[in-house]
Amino acid sequence: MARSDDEYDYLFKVVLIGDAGVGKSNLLSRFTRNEFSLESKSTIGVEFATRSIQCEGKIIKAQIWDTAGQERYRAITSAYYRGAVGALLVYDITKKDSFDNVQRWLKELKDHADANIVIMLVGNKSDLQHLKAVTTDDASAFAESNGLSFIETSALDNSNVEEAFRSILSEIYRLGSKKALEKGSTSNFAPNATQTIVINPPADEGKTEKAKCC
Amino acid sequence: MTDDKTLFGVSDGLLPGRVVRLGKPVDWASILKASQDRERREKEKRDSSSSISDLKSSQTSIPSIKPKSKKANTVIEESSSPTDGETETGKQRTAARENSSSSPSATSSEKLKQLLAEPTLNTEAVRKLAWAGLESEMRSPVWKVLLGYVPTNLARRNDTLRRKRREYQEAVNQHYDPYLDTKEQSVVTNSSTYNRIGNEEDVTFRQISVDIPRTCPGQALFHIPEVQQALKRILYVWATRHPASGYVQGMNDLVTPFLFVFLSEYASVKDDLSLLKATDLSVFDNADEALSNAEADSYWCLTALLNDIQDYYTFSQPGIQRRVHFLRELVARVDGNLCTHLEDEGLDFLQFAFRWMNCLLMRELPFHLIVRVWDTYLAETDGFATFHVYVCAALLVTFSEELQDMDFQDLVMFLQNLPTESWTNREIDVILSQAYMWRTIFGAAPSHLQQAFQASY
Ligand SMILES: Nc1nc2c(ncn2[C@@H]2O[C@H](COP(=O)(O)OP(=O)(O)OP(=O)(O)O)[C@@H](O)[C@H]2O)c(=O)[nH]1
Ligand SMILES: [Mg+2]
Repeated sequence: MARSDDEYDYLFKVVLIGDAGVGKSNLLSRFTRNEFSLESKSTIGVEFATRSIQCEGKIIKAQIWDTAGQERYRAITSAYYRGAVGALLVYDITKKDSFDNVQRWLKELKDHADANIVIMLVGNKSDLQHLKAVTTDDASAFAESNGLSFIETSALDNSNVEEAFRSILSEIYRLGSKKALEKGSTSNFAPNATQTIVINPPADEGKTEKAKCC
Repeated sequence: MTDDKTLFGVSDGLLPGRVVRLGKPVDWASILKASQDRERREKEKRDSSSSISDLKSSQTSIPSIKPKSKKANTVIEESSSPTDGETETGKQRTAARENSSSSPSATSSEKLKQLLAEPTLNTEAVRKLAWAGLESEMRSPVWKVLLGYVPTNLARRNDTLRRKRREYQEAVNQHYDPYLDTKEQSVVTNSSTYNRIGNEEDVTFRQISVDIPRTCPGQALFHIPEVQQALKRILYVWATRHPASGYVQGMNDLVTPFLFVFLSEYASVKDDLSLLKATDLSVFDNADEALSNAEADSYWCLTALLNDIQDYYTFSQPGIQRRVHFLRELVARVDGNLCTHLEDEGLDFLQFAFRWMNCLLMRELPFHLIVRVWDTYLAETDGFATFHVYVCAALLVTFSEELQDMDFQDLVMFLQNLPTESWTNREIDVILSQAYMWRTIFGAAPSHLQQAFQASY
């Protein structure tokens, strides 16, 4: 069913999780459509958007699932973690409670996501430095001790948003190809080959330039 | 297959062209005829506009709606045959209605005024008129009686309003700590004062505060600070008094039609839309009175609404899951091809319809049409909890053709952002009458569809 504008070598499912209001939906709209809104509606259930990037000569299509942040929705949203190869766990650098809850979100992932999911901790709203309630040191120490990568972003002034998505996608790619090599397989390195992880045979032509290389 | 057990004994839905086998001989034509007649009577009574669907369209899809050039005062002929030309007639009638200067709803407003002035309200008569949509001036009083917020006894209505408004004020004084706001401020402005993690009330308050500025972003009215404060108090007091569910995101959406309708009673604007665009309280002659009354009334009406759908918002949201299941069953029967396509593509109904239930379509339809839809929901006896699901089915099936050409990803993208921005009453009327029709057919039938739905209570 792939059309000419929709060719890719790899399709990665990535989930966006974290407390309500930390800016997940805006990070997503910034990355996929370069849009930001101060008055975006809360996410109810799940939504998704996609964007393709190039990474080491391959086209990677990210299918990013944005989830509702409120606790009450977890029963619904956690069902969508399955098959995800990456997770951006977002907190708001001006809201300490959103950082304190990161622990609980990690547990959610542990309970409902695939064991080898790549997780990146994202401290959003870095444009609000004067309101900063979670220091970069604290967050980065936490990330390190939990084996997560870490980045601070601002969906508002568009700093590090591109980098955050690119770095998790390329990390997934690298880990995946490494594992695939270890297994001696070249075709499929997805944790499980559900319909959300589609690995197309690398096409030599017809690829369109989607984005700059990562 | 248990053809003799179920009324609609085809497990994969009623596919066009397939023979429907029924256990007991059921006269389809007469069921349908009856529902069409009823439908038509209903329509004539309220002089409404939309079409009567034929058997085929009730099973597959309602005709797709395309804007049609308006013809003023088209001579309307009742279609003698329900199987041909009905769509055309329906559209023409709609066009005629929308262009007619002697609006039929003007008489409906007159009638409603008379009804509301009677010592004991004839609720049934009010329901009938409300079903077809209310004039904006009638919404506030009619919604209040249909929700049971004010009594049918005319003599007691004003007293009740006074008492309820006072009770709400007392509840605010009891539950709503005005310092919550300043605490929230200090949390934001000075991180060192932050020390209140995990306190239930604060969690609720923070969640509500996060959602207030994101409520109906398109409507200026809900960005007026005083209106936002009212919203916040309503939600906070409701959450505090209903700990089984507490505040759940999306409830903020559900207050807005009430607040808008009740505020409009006091606004000196010429139409609905200009109130939605108001950027300050100057549209009210007496803003304090307007706000405090509308706030209290909205609180009680929200309470009445949520009372019917409490299980939408309790842990794991079972009420929503059941409705979505019911929706799937319904679509499987009225548009088997669509249902099969969605499932072949791996799209689970819950994925897109969760929000349709959780926010009662407020995210899928323009605000002024939501208010119109609520006229009908309130006129129905179980509008928000049951009729709504039929409306969801009709809405989905409206896009059946397009949807069947889409793959998983396009389906999700389309369904999370339905192209309804330019819709008018016309499209909504078609959807509501389609829903009515299906409810008439399926709601009365002892099918397992119905049983599945009722068993869940
Ligand atoms: N200053 C600033 N505000 C932001 C930033 N990102 C998001 N916001 C604002 O924070 C609020 C919440 O953003 P959303 O993207 O809706 O948050 P969310 O995490 O998707 O929230 P839920 O859908 O409720 O879980 C909005 O008012 C945004 O405009 C940012 O980088 N800087
Ligand atoms: Mg969101």
